[in-house]
Amino acid sequence: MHPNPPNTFSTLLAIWQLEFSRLFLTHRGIIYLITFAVIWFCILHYAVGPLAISSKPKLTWPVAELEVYWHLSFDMFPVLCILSAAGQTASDRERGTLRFLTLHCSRDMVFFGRFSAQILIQSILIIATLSSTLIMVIMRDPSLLIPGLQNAWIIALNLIFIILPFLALLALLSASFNSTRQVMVLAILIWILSATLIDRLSVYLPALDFLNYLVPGMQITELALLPPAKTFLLTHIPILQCFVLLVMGRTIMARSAL
Amino acid sequence: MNSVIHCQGLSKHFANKEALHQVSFEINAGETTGLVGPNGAGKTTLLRILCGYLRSATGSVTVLGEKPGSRALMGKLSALPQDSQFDPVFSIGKQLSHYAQLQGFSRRQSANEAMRVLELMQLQDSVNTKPDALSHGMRKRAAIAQALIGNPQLVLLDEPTAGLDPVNARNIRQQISAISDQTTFLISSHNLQELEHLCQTILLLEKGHLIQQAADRNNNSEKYITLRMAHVNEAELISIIQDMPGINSITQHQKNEFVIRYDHSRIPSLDQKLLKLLAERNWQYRHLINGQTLEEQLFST
Repeated sequence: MHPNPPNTFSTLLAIWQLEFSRLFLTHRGIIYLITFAVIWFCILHYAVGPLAISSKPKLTWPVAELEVYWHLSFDMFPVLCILSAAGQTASDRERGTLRFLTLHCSRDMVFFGRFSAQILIQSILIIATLSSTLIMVIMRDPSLLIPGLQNAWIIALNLIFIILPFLALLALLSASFNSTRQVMVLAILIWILSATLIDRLSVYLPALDFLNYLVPGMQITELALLPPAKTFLLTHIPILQCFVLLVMGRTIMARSAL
Repeated sequence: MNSVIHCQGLSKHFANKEALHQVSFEINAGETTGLVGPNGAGKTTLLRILCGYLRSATGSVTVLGEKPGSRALMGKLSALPQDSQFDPVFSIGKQLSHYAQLQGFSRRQSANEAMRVLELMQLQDSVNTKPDALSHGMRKRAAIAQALIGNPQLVLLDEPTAGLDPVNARNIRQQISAISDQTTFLISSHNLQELEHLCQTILLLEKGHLIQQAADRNNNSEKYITLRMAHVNEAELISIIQDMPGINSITQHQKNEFVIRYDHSRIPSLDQKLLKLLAERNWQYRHLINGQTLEEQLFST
């Protein structure tokens, strides 16, 4: 039997299918999903709901629950990303599975296929938590459905942009190291240490302030102050960070010994 | 004949150690080739370079006319890499099916292709089994099945039968033999008997140097016969054979095993004469091999 020559989309589709199976059909994936659901249940039940009811909505967002969700998810999604997407190619490299894979498709397809699969998976998780938040909003006040939907898609897109450089950083580290745990620890260290060190340095040497652009999520503080319509003004930062990290990761992936 | 692998002046260093030094050779389509050499000779490094897993430091390599690791080789070149494991969370069938999909098979075709290669390795009952539940030998066979997906033109096998029981090792040799007219194999192995059965050409690597490329064995008028006896008076046998016309030499490297070097133009039917001699003397023999064993060819001094 001889197959048709593979095209980029069919290869990507095959990689996405396997990554979705890994999350939704394997024990490890289901345990992660249950943990994710429990964490978000606690956030929504004990934080979003009570805070939204007790505090007046700020000027920026018309739906209180979504405003609380918006601020909490800035940090939650990057952390959950690091926990779930660290092993994009690292564990496969460690056990030699990448050698099998790269006999059947190119290293570029493995690298970008795994990265794009994680974008899709994280997007689904973002939409799932936002939908739960919207249900809470409707249960409190059904008239907020339309403004809620209008704000929800803005939040969803912004969160996807926020996690892009984190996923790209994980893809880069995953192409460089052989262990998922190592990738996870390094990603957290890079995220926290680079933000802290560059922040401190730029206090003494303001000329180094531009280095903040190297830190994934550096736009979050500013983003939190913007009204919904203006949140897309900062999207160029994560997109550029993601692009640079992917170019570096792709180069390492192409050159690394398997 | 078309060259499927062409290496010229290939060298590779790891830190201060030279893994390969100026290795040059060519393998033609349909020519099953064995790669032998002691541990650390550079066999696995050479296979890793050919697969595109490692970059060579200097020299040129082309595989099926392409640079190793090139996208054009997907589906044409396959391999059994050393010490590579499957993903433990998915069944063997699902993983092989995934690899087939990556090569361009549709979802249904990929399931059929996975089953076909598993059947070749007599693993059809393990299609839904996860790798951790398989024995070492079964995992090795599944990895060979992986290498046969889509009938590639060239397959590189790194110690395909190491650690397998004799029955399964024999099955793998039979499968390689059966498809070697459509697929070219390069087999790295320590099992010289296995290579002797399967290969037309042998590459001998030692400390990163290609010492010998043996092909078309016994091409000259000087030929060899290897005689392995059950019981014999060794001195008497040597003396009788040595006196036969056309015999150049008879040497004994192991107990009861003799390598006879003779002039084929002077004594074309030496094998028949030997069998007659053994029958007359009532000497029991175990093997009469036309030529030298591979071990003798490669390592006799």
